[in-house]
Amino acid sequence: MRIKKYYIVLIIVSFFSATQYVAAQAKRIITLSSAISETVNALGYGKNILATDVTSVSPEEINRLPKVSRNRSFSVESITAYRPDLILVPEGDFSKENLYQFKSLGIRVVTIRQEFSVQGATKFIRQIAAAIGDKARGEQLAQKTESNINTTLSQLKKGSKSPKVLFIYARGVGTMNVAGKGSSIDEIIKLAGGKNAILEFSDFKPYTTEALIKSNPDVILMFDFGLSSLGGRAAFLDLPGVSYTNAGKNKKIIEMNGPLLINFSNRLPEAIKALNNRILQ
Amino acid sequence: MKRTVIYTCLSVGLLVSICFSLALGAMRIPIKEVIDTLTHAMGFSVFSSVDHGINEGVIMMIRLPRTLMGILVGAALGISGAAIQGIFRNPLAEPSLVGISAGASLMAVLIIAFETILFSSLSQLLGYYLLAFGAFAGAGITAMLVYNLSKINGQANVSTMLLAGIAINAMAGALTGLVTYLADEQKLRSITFWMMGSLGGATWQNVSCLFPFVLIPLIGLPFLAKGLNLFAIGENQVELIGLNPNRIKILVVVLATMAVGASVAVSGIIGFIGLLIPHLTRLLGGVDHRFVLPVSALMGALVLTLADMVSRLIVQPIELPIGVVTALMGTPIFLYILIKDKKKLVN
Repeated sequence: MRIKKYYIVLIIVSFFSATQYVAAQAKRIITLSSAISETVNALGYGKNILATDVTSVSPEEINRLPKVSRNRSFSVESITAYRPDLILVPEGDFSKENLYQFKSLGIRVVTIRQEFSVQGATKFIRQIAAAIGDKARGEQLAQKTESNINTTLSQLKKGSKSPKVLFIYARGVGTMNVAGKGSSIDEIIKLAGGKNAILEFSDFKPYTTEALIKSNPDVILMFDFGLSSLGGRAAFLDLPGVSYTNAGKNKKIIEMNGPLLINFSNRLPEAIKALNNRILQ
Repeated sequence: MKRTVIYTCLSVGLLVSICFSLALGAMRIPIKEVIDTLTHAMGFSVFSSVDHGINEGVIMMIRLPRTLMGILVGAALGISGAAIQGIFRNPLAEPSLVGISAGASLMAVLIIAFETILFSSLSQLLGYYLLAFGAFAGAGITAMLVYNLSKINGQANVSTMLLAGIAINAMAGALTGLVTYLADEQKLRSITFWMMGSLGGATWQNVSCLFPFVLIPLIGLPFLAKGLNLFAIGENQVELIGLNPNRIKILVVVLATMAVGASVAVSGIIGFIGLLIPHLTRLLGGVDHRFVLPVSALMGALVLTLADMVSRLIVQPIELPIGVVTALMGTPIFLYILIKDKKKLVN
């Protein structure tokens, strides 16, 4: 008898929470990083995205959306003008003041911290799905991504030894940075069966010719826009020091799509596979 | 008579630009709703008191604090610029030239970069106000340092003070650069904000924090106008009339530091207002500080409100840093004054 009572209460409660669940689902979303935009789209909510940031360029239907933030420069009012009910933003991109401003306008902001690892990717997907209010689909996509990653990792090409990869982030010859330990690039290189050529420091630090020669990478990796900003492959091979490295001698300069490499979400398997193919060619 | 006209024109101009600043922005809000929201907030309503929802929020929570911050920061920079030019008897002196702004921003950058390591206990104590106090302290320390460096036989020497200011600026710039190099990406972004200046972070919280720091100098500095007028003739003139020149100097430096330090704390470095506004004021109505000080405050408020509107509206949906706008507006005018008055400056 008592158990029955509890059972009824439980059903009522779950009914109410279920209706709330549906009511809380976000309809008008603003996504402020390429990984977030791609993940929301992969969850099937691409049509609910109103605007994105300047890095959100794929897929095409996301690229067509208005860009309200450029290199983290944005105005609270222009974002508010879209009357969003949810803003998804990487942790740290909004200042304390901005968060307070959106809060006082009654707009929900969810800041998302991205961890660059396999576990981080599935966590990222689940977090975003939870913010949108569709945990079920998040679980589905997270599990699919995880099994894809496992399949990809088991099918990786293996060389006699893992190649040393140096990543250069370039915006013209004057502004070149290399990726150190703990960066997103460091992690994707390791997952793809390579070895980061830089082990001395973490994050990104300015590039120097001597450091390049000292690290002597087997492969130099760049974003596609990075290589073109240096004037293309031939111009890059002519840069001082490049010809002294294994990568320069063997002309192993590879360029890859930036958003794909640092997605660390639903496209992580694709990124691992593509990078693995290129560095172990 | 002429001055009454100038006061009236500037006041009307400021009021009009405040109205535009509240009415224009990325959100298209009908002017009727703007008026209704404002009158409603003041306790009565012209039109029907319908709930405008998010539009009301944008006006009350985003545009109004931002406009007020523009007025306060502009007035603070304008009046401190005029007062500092007065005691230095140098038309090039401005808060950033004597190192006050650099000291404020260096301290702010240090706090941003090392907050978690060094300032955690302070941060718990002061919370939100830590940066403001830090910037103020930085401004105060550099101002005192520059002032003491420039003392010769107990007298502050103006050219030494300027040179000391340049040295402090270079030092603070180098240290800021060093911290920037060590800081991670996220902190770098906050630091960039400080170097470029923006009113985008205005909330009621930081506007009310700024208010007393600007109000006291705005009231206090005009009382020193007479002394500053005598400074223009020569320091000994101040003594002859029975005033203490050193006391005037210290008061001006303290009050200006207060205004500039607090402004930098909430909006970052906004250049050219402190330099240019006093020049424009003197161009309009002469060199009497009883006129120059209040009018510089008024004009600073007006120009910064306009500059902020430009920064918000010109590259929608994003914003230009306001420091870029003031420099772009300011430099041509400054060069014009320079070319026009070149002969006068030499003689």
